Amino acid sequence: MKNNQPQFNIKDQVLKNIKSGQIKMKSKYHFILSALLLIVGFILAFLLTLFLLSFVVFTLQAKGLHLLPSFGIYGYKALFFSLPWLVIIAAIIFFIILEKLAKKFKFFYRHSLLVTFTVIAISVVAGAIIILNTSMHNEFCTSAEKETLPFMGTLYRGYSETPKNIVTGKVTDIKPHKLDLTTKKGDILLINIMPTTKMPPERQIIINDIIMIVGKRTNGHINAIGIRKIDPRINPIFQSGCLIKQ
Amino acid sequence: MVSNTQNLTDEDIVLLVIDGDIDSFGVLVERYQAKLLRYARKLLFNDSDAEDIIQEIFIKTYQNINSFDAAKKFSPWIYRIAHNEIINKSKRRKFDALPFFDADTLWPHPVSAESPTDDIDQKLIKEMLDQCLEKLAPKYREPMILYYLEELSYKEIADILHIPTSTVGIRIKRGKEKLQKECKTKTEYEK
Repeated sequence: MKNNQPQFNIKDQVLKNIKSGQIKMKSKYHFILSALLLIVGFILAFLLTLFLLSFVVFTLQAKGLHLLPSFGIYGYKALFFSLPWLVIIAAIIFFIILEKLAKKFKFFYRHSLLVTFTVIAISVVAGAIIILNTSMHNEFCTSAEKETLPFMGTLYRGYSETPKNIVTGKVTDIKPHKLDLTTKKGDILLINIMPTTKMPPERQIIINDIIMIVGKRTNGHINAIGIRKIDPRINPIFQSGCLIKQ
Repeated sequence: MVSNTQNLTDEDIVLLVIDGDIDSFGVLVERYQAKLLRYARKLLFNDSDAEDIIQEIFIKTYQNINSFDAAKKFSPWIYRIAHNEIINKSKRRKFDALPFFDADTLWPHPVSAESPTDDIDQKLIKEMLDQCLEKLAPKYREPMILYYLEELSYKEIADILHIPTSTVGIRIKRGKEKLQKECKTKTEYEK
């Protein structure tokens, strides 16, 4: 009898609460809306992650930072300190949010974290590559420079500055162990080529070449740690502040 | 109306409840109360907490009944609600909470599909579960209870716990090994 008492009480108590209106069934629309919000949240997190990832790559390309590893340890160090760390951290956070939301879907929770991570990572990278092959970032960047881009303008302008010890410009004069470099702003800098300067693999630099110099700038002089030639067809970073797709 | 529902499947009864037949919900309560109470007692190790939570489980079930897909089985669905309520209760008690990071779900495990255990093995494991369950870590306890005591399949357990099916297999395998070890140690200690 003792075992039967809870059965009687729980069933009757629950039915009593339902019939009195204390407990109500949630409507079907509540669950439809919840499901829609989940899907929208997932899509938003996905789009934000791939936007941020593509922005990081765009920034690296636009400032020529992807060339820095060719300058050796100094280049790696300069690259490390030039990376848009806040954007990278934000991208990682949104990726984690994306993983968490994905686990609400049967396809994802039925598979291991490694599988879901791989599927999502491949999708994000593929999406970022697609975006980078469009002119979206260029257009946003150009609008940001003109201050006509709401919200995201700050993001583009915030990362528009080139790192201090990296200069890009056009060779306007060549002297023994020295170069004159004219930057996009019109500044003329004197580049000292030292015995330890890492020269481009092609060696010969000619007038009108677009080059990147890594070295400390002091009063219009730079002792070049490394020099790299830039092919404007591949990296048209000198022509404007933003990368332009040809 | 209630006597007519005794022969209906759980899924059919749910449809009646959704249509407004509240008394039919009582049939579901009768069918699942004992099972869920046993499940809750095994996980919470406290009869009072287990009885409290049963009512909350049925309340939640009724409140969310419109989210149930009648094309699927009702049993894993209500166990999922029970699992969530028990987890919340465990967290509030700061007792035996599941780990934040679950290494078992990190990569796929090449565990073979569930194989039927023979009657003797099944009986032995049930006895060991009764004696030594509290010795098992929470992440093994639940799949073991659902598989051996509630007799659910790996897929159903995966849907309840929201973990990969292969992880269910590996947890049951390891849970069984640990249970045999713990029970053997306990028996030797008692001697």
